[in-house]
Amino acid sequence: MTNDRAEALRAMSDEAFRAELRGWLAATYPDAWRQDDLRPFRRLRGADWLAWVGMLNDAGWRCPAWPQAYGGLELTFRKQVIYQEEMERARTARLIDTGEVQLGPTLMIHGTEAQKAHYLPAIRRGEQVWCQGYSEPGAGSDLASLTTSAEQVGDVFRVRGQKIWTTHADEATHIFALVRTSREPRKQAGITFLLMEMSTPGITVRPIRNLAGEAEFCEVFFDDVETPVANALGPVGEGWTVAKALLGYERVWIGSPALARRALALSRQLLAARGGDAGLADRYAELAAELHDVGALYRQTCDAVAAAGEPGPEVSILKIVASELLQRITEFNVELAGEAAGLTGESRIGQVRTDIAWQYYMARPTTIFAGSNEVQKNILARAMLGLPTG
Amino acid sequence: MTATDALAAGDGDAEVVAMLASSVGAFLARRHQRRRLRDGTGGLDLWREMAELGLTGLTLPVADGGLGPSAVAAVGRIFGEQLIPEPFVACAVMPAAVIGALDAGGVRDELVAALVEGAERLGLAWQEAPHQMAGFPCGCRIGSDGRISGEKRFVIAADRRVLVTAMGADGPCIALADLAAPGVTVVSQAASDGAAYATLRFEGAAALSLIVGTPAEVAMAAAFDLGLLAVAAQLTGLADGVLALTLEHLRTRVQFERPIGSFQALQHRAVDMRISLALAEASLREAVRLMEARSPHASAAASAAKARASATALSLTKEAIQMHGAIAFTEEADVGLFARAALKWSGYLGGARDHRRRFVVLGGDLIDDE
Ligand SMILES: Cc1cc2nc3c(=O)[nH]c(=O)nc-3n(C[C@H](O)[C@H](O)[C@H](O)COP(=O)(O)OP(=O)(O)OC[C@H]3O[C@@H](n4cnc5c(N)ncnc54)[C@H](O)[C@@H]3O)c2cc1C
Repeated sequence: MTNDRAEALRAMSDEAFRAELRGWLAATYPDAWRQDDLRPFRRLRGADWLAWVGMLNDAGWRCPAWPQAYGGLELTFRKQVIYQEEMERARTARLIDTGEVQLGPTLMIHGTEAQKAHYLPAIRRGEQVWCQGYSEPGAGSDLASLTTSAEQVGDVFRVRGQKIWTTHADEATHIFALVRTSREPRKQAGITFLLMEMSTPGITVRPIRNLAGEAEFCEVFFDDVETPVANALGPVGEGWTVAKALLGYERVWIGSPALARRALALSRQLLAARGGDAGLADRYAELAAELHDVGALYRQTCDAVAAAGEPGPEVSILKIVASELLQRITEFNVELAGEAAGLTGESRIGQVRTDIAWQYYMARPTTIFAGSNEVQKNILARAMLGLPTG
Repeated sequence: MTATDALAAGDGDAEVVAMLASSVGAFLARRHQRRRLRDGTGGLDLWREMAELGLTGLTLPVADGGLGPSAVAAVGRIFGEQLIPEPFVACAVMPAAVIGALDAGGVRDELVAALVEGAERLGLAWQEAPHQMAGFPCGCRIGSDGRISGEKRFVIAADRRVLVTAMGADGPCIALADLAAPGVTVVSQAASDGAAYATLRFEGAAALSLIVGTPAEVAMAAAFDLGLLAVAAQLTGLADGVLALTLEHLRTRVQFERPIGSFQALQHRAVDMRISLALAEASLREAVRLMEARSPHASAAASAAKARASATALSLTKEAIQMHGAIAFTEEADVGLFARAALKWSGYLGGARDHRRRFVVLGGDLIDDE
């Protein structure tokens, strides 16, 4: 995309920008991809994912946060928030793009010129699909205990070990991984941030079926995988610091109550279908009012981040309340559906085409991934409340 | 003396029930693995073996080999803890309670025999809508010619025949219908515990009226209460099973150089889980006690137990998933099997909210004031 496009969007008032995006989505977004009562948390994959990234590129909506130098729109944080809001409002499917959201910004900070030139345009165009290889069987919340090793042999690293829970690894062309390049007394030291092509010999992917029966995350095995030393991002042994930089704004988006809003829309449909009583109406009202409050906190936090330029520890509050509210709404939907919640696959409740078990299952991991809620609370206790550590 | 002889010996006799529980436990340890759940229920052979142990006729009168509510609860707990997908409630507890109430004679003898021999899984099709709390009145009709019309939902695993509730000229009626007969359509949908739910549609299908009027109503009500007790027991056993699994994980999963069970944030929640289980067990025992005593409050207590057990199983499986971390979100993990079964059983025969209301409607809140 040309910079003219980015400049035009940047020059618009926030309201005009909102109207422009809203109009475009209304005119072009395919209904089949929209989140609905059957798939309130729908996410795009495979060919659909590629097609949507292509549409965003063609119409000049791709990479809202990236600087223009890398082909991004370089929007103010305020406009980025509007961008998210309009996507959610149009019920667009989630687009898991770790290349754009996570790796891109890290490359811009830590990458060499050669790395930036090699990866960033391809990420933007959707030619490279990245997955995040951090977690291991023995290293979840305690990520620094990771053991996948990379031994330097001449100008290559030889990588051995295993990653797990790697979302969409089966569709990814590339992986960024944290690997241990040396043993140090402090376990956060000696870790290197490594970029690899999934087609490298020695990498094997085994999809794992999730609770809802879908293959969404994977195991990734590294069996003497050789990758150039030049593929380290940032200094060798400094991967922990590099990875931390990557969390940035992503921590804000993860606290958005958008999924909770979709789940509550389903509650509304179910309530209408079965005919409510005072008790159900009260439960619905409680959840709806809470969604309102969480939404307010979310927008205010976004405003504060826009003003301060840096998300603080309080974004952990958002992640906790948004995920827990989402779960409670999906549980309310289970209650509303009664016996039908036990059905596997699509079912009809009145006129509502839905899949109650699916939305219940899919809400479960939101309190586990991206830093479990327990770990978030540990962070808040220390960083926000200043409580002593044990 | 065979196991079945022993079972016939007493009604609610603690020793007999304990013997039954241990033989069921031993049998399942041999014949069942949780993995089986992913492939659905076992065949009729397994059902027959369960029948040999006496599990299919527990709610028949003592003279027919029944053992009463305490045995139902004991067996239900084991089914829950081990996540047995076999339709103990739907094809043993509930139909046996109806069959036991039939007038002596030909059809009754044949049905009792089919039940205790495990020759077929005989269903009880009573429900027509979600959240339904009683078998009668209902929308299904039976004509004087014995033809049935209407729709039944959430029917579990009948092989060949079902007992069907319907309204006839003489009021409530329970009839016997053949699923292969003209005018019957069966649509099955997989359910999260491995046993399917079926919708049965009757369009002038031939059926044999078995019991009518007040006796039919009483039999259906007894079947419902015993069904509630049995599902409550399964859910309580399930909660127990998933707590055990979670405690094991808390003891063995190491992060930050120590077992995660050493983190107080998780310890308190594990204790909360145990406290919930204690309440579910208490409510279940109270329901057994009142049912054995044929108390007028038995139905309210059965609803209280079902409500408590449903809520407990759901909340414990949710906590279990959280404490297991990502591994719980896999199809392979046992903790997920518990979560799926909880999702189905907590709603089956009515959810927590439905039964709290029924508890109050039946005057359960006034029991202690008497
Ligand atoms: C759907 C999904 C997608 C994912 N995608 C990816 C991906 O793409 N790439 C990737 O690298 N990883 C991914 N993950 C992994 C995710 O980052 C981990 O699940 C997370 O870090 C937690 O680790 P764990 O699952 O091993 O749980 P554990 O760390 O074993 O935790 C188990 C339980 O103990 C609790 N606990 C742990 N430590 C403490 C403590 N100090 N105090 C109190 N409680 C504690 C946890 O909160 C949790 O409840 C994904 C996970 C899920 C569920």
